[in-house]
Amino acid sequence: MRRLALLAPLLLIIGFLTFALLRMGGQDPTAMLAGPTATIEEINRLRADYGLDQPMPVQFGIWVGHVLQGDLGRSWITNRAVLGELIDRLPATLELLLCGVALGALLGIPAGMVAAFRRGRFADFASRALALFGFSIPTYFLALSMLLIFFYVLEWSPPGMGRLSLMLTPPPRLTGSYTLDALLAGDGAAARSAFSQLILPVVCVAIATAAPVVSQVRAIVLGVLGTDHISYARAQGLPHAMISRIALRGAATPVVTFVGAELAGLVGTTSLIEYVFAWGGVGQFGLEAIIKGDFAVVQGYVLMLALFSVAMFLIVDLMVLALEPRAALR
Amino acid sequence: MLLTVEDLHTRFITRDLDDRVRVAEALNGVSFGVGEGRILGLVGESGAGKSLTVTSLLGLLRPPARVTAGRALFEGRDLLALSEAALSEIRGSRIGLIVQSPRSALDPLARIGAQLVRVQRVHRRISEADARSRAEAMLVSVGIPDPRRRLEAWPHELSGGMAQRVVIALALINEPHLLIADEPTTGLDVTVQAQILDLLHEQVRRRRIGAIVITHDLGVVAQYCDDVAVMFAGQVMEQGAVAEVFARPAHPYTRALLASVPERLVLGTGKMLGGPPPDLYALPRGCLYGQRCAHAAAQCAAPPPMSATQSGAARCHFAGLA
Repeated sequence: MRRLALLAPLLLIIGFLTFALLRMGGQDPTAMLAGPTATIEEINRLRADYGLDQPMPVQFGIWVGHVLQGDLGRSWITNRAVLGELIDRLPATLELLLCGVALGALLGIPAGMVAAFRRGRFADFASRALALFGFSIPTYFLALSMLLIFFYVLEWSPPGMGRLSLMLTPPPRLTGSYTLDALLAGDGAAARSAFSQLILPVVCVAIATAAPVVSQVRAIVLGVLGTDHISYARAQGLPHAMISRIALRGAATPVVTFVGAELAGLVGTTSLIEYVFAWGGVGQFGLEAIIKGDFAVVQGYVLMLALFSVAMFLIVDLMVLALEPRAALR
Repeated sequence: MLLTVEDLHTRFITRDLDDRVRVAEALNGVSFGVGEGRILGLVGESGAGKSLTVTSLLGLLRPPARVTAGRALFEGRDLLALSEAALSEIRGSRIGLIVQSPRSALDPLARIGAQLVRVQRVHRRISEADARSRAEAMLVSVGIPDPRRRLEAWPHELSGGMAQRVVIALALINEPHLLIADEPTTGLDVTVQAQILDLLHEQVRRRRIGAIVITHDLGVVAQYCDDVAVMFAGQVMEQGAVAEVFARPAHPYTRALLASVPERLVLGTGKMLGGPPPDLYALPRGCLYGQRCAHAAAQCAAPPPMSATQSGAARCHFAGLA
């Protein structure tokens, strides 16, 4: 609960840093907006319209005032409310992120466990070699290679052009996930298309997730296997399977904590994958806004990322509370 | 004899950075016996191999340590020759182990009752309800008040003394024939130490089982044990009945131990006893105690045999004379 009290100052600091860095970045969105034929007067008028002629602390104060009223401002490029744009795109990102991290954890956690239990044997080396591969390959390169192999060469996958075949109309929005919504609407063709579009980017996120998960889970399980209570369990003559279960139960808390932190951290990585696959989620939206100098969007995007991280850590805390009898004391 | 250990050798075999094999000779022919209904005190300075002897016997060694020779007859079977599965059946049922750090040894994620039930149901056919009522009775007999409530407690909610009582309950609940207590009172308050030792003593006497108590406190041996085995550098240097050995120690090391105070032994520097323990990577050929012995002579370049003395047996060329 102390973390919740820290939330307000944390968000304020993050907001200010984003605000300041954007304005020190040397980008001038007004010149871009006004176009190549604009006169100096026109640019200056635009600048005054957006409040960019004011001193920075004043601009920041105005922005904070608006944010407190639930107004994240307008995108200077699409001229739509930032909040609406983010909310529209959020489900696409969540779908990609949650599926990817879930798949990565589903593969990475058992692989890390096997590596720990079979330490020094083939399974250990194999899973660590794969983890190293996942670590070393840059995400955008991985995404492009996947497209090259599975779309261009093998033709197993649709092109990386969004979340649904261009021939189909999106299903009515319920959850925001095209696959789920199409299934709910009973639209088989759309569901198949949405699902096949989902596979490659999800696999990319999963690989980016699994690599650190494998090595962390291996280290965590090895640590638990070396503790006093595991040797005492052996001294009690408990069978091997039961000892493994006790060890895994002990590893659950650190593993949950780690995967939660991963999930919070992967939002950044995901934006690159979204970009390559033209996914149209918040990540891609934020990335494009950074490149184009769409200040209000970047500020809203960063604020949303911060909130997402805080929410993730809160969920992790609650899960640890449920897993750990000792956690209630703290 | 309930347990007879003969010529137990344990080595740590590792490779150094240059890929040369390095061998630490940690146990060098440990032999002793534990009689039915008797308590053996295993004493010696830190690093003498007391705990390692027990972990070797129970098959709890971790690589790079391994038993390289020896026999350990328990109830007619050689523990050192048994498979891991067969040993696992003996541990926790025929042989109970009491460890020195009860609070970290208990499974932190299982309630006390669950742990007591678990160890019973692994080793014998018993219903959950029966195992639970036996667990409750066992907590009473190790002196834990309000046992029904304690069964629901988590290990972290127990004091050190209470946790040690739980560990004793875990060791005794399957009615073992042999109880091994590895420094059962380290880290406990002095008053609690006496309570725990009294409890152990009483339980062993009442159940007429054999016990090994590892300690570096000679006072504990004098007060609670029937027999004593004095270890040094992975060998039993002298053994016999406590009263006899303490009255007429035959081995120079036993005499040095008796002359020093327990606190110095705990520090384990050995300095007070006249030098460090021998380098396990390069043991002397002759008597392992020779380098520190005040009476070392020409014969000591040859390994001394275990020879009978007035009080038992000692591994010294001069034991008969001393």
